[in-house]
Amino acid sequence: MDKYQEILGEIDKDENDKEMVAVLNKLSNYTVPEPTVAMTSSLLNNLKTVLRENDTSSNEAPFIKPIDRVAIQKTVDAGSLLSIFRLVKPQMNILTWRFIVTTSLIIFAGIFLTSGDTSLIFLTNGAPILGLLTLFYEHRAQLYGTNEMEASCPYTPAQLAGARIIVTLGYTVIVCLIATGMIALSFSDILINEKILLWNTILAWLAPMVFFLGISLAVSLRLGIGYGCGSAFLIWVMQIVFEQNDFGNRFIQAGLLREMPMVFLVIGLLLIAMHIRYLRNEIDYSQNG
Amino acid sequence: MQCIYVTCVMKLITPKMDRREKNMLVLDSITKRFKKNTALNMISLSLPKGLHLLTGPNGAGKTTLLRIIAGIIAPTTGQVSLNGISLFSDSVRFKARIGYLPQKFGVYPEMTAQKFLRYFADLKGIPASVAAQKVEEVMDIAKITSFHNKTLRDWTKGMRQKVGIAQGLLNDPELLLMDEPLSGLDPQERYYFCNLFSQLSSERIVLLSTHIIEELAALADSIMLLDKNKLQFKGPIPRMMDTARGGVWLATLSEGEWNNKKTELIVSSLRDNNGLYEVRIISAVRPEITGVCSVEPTLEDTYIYLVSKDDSE
Repeated sequence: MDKYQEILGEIDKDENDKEMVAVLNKLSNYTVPEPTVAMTSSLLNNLKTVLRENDTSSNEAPFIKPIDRVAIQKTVDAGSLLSIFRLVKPQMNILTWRFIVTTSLIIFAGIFLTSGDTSLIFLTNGAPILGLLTLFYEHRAQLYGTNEMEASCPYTPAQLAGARIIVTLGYTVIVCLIATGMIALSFSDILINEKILLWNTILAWLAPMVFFLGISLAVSLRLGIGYGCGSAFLIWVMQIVFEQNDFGNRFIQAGLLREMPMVFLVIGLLLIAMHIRYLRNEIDYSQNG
Repeated sequence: MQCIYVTCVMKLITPKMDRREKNMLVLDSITKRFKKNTALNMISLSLPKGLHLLTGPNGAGKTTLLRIIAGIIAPTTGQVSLNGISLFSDSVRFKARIGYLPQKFGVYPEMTAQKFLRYFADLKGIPASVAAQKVEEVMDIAKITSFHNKTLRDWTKGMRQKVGIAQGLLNDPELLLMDEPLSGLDPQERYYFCNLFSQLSSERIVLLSTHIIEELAALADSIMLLDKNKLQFKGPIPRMMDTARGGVWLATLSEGEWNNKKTELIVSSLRDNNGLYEVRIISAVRPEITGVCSVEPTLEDTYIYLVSKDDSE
């Protein structure tokens, strides 16, 4: 009964409180095995973090360890190309495994399900879409609203854009190269007997991909990445429609497109370079007041 | 001897500027125009170490000012410098010294808090050897350690706000810019973070844009009131409250009297007391109400006094 008095006293209850005494009587009847030392320490470990987080009464000044700012400056300032390559790793984290698996599977399944030169046409038309999707996914910061926090970091918008373009091109090129390999292995006639050089096959998807990426990046400077990728997609649809109609067909058969991939590649690279150069010169890239 | 003389002269001349700008955020004639709309008009101020509040009505330009200081947007005219480092001529050094939390921000939903903070540690140029340790440190300060493995998709707004605050602390900033950092936090968390900002301000400049000034008033070293795109007041809170002295009145009105007068009065608070209304009135001259008496202004009274003063002018 002394124990009861002690407990009831601690919770500000009268020692004759019948209801509480009944509860305590009931609790006394329960038999629970005594916890082991290991169980107690495990419980305390689990609770420690939560208890410490809930202890808002602490007036201890938080100690933030000083950081080596010279090292930060060196990292960010190091020759612009090196600093961009340093940014590539964190930017790769933005591409999720789910995205990588889904997009590459679509491309590989497309190659698998088509045959002969249809596979090549699929890859030529699919590569720009893969590029645009990757570019948009890499630039999700604008969609989710993390871009302001990113822009307050010491890296310039141009360095960040450079790293994202490297990741986009890198991922797309790797997937398309594997797809090209698949085509070459399965339908080697196309590559050997008809004397289509491997380089030409690569150029066939690389040129439109770089071209459409260039367009989307150029448009994004004024309208944001969503509209940039959207407008590039529209042009891609128009190109497909053009290729399907008689005039487009005659145009292709006349061989007028033979030299075009190189031209598109150069235009695309110029547009990408323009995008980075613009960001290098402009700090005021966000005009939303 | 000549050497000592030269050193003395140099100390007397050149460091004058350094001493003035050491541990100082200096804004010089900041103006920002968006097409025809002027968002900020000739804002100049110097802030030393301490906790400074930036307040003002919605649309006054608080967020624009913070975005300019954080280097997100460029001002139309003016200069920003921190400890003598100019934002526009040396943005890398400047940005390496700041931490910024925007008013509205998002997260990569598939990332855990740990991965998200690590991403920002990399973006802030923090060397890989210390990045993981810094992430643990700020998670501990923001009290989010126990949730570190949950993806941010599952986090509430308040929890995400804490991740945002943690992100701002990653690089041990000399200038901490926080836009409405207390929004989404419950009262207990607000109390904790108010104290945290106060403690952090002993070693750095902490500039908070907030509407919740009452909670921070006791801790803040100075307050700035931004209204109509201009800095209307800057100084210690007691001095701000002095400006409203003699301009706050208390009256007890019947329902009928209240209904007659309510359109012509600027009221800071209204309390129903058994059918009678206790009204705190903001007015530079004594209102023509029977029994009205002058009272000491509260911070809220002062805020309304200063904002409404500009309207009447």
